[in-house]
Amino acid sequence: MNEAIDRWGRAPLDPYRDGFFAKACRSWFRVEWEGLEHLPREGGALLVSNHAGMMPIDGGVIQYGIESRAQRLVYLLAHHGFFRVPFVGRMMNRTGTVVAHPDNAHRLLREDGHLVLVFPEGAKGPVKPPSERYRLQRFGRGGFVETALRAGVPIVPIVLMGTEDTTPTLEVLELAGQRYPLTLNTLLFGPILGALAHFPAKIRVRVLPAVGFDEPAEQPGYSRSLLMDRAEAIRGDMQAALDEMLAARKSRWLG
Amino acid sequence: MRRIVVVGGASPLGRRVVERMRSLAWVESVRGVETRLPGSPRANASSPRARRGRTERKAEESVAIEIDVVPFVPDPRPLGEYLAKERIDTVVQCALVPDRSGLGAHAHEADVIATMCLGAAIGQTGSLVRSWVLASSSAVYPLGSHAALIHDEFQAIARDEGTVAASIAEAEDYARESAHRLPHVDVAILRLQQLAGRAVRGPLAALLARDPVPSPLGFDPAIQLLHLEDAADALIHAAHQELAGIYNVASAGIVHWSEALRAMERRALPLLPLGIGPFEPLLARLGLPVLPAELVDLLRFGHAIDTRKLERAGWRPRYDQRSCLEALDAPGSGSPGT
Repeated sequence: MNEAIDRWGRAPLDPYRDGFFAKACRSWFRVEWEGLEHLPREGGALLVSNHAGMMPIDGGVIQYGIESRAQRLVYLLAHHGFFRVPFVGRMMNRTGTVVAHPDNAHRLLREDGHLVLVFPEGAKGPVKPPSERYRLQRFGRGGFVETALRAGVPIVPIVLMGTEDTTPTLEVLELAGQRYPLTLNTLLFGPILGALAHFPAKIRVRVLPAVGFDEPAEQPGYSRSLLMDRAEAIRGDMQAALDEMLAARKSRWLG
Repeated sequence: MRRIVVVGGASPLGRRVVERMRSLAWVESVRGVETRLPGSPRANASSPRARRGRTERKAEESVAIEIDVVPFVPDPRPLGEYLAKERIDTVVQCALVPDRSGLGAHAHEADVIATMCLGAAIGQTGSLVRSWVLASSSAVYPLGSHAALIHDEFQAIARDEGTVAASIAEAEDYARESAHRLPHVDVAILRLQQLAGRAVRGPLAALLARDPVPSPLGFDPAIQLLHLEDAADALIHAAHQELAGIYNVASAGIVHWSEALRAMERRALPLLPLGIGPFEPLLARLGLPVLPAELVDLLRFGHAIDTRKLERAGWRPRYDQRSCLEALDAPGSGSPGT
């Protein structure tokens, strides 16, 4: 029965990313990877990455990159609100995106042994002001560390450079209590086309060494100070790698 | 050797449990109990004494099942006396399932008050009951975009006031309270997934049995059914092993709505999953296709349960989702619901 779609609603063949998006990764963003050897060859791992841009493409870049280069499936966790929208939620399920719930993450990591990608910054990434460009925001409440500890899997930090230049934020607007980033793309092309049109900035991706843990898995709870400590350490490593990559970059278009 | 009563023995599930138990070597006797005869007007709750101890037997058309009518709501004493007189050691309660949608205020009576009274009867002096198996429902788990897809027994349950889920949760509370108060009674709460069988359909199965199938436009939920035989197996297993605690029950696997329709060779009739609430019964009466309001969230976000706890206790599902769907198409499956 489930040969077509897995229990998370993912279809095996992904027409969305084998077509247009794959071409965009190769020819438009010219994505370059380093450190892929840090990815475990088998078993679950929690991938964490920096998150930025008006209509973030970083999830897709990482998913397509790893699936085409390392031949391992990557599942994404996303805010549950997306899944309330007809067709959108279904398309996200089909392409391997699952509601970000700790239980879903636990089953994906521990029972299915998949690679699972989260953005610990959450919505704070995409709506940060231009002064915070390439500065990692607070990593939530350390929940991603708890998820990895419970599942007994390592955390693999992944740093992306260039995505913030594909949709540069000019200002953060506040409308009815909600914060929205005004991007250059929106200003030039309007709200709909501007959300889709991305500048051809060069994207570089670096996979950092996996962070393992000694704590036993499947504990009912973990010390909050341990979680925040580990979360901040990982964020520090990622910021350092990002700063290093930015310093070595000659042009945002050519890398 | 065990002496068993099945409360709700006239329901499709209760009847199947009785039928199956009659051929088991460890069962000395098994009887069905109802508060009233199926099809008859509700037993007059204000005069239980007049009917106390009185039993009626009714031969059903298909298989002869002996049903004792014991009005025990709201006064549990007749049932307590009945349990003592018949030297019952095991109670299987099937009255909560399968389809309690549309019951409205009666759901509260059927679930909460009946379970409370049953617990009281089991606790009466002279009762020899040592095992109580309650067929509850997976509807107690939270449903919605924010909820996990697959639920295990440790999850917090939904208690939105006035919902069927809250009513079942409250019934479970009384069973748990009895377990606490009566340490010599093992209370097993089995949370059954939506039933599918030849003679029984939960609301989801009833929807799938239509052609074309009213379907949620723009959504493809993961669903899970429970074959009637798997449900009966689980209840019998829990009674035999005298299990205590909460266990999820579903047939093997998960299926997505689109796959289910393909497997059944049914066409989809896409409808906006809006939950049109008060207008739904009206539209349904006019013969217009609607998505039942109580299924709207399920049809948008999907819902499944993890049955490994009961599997560790020795039960195995014999059917998978495909055979559940096939059971909906089997001849003789004409009567929906109870």
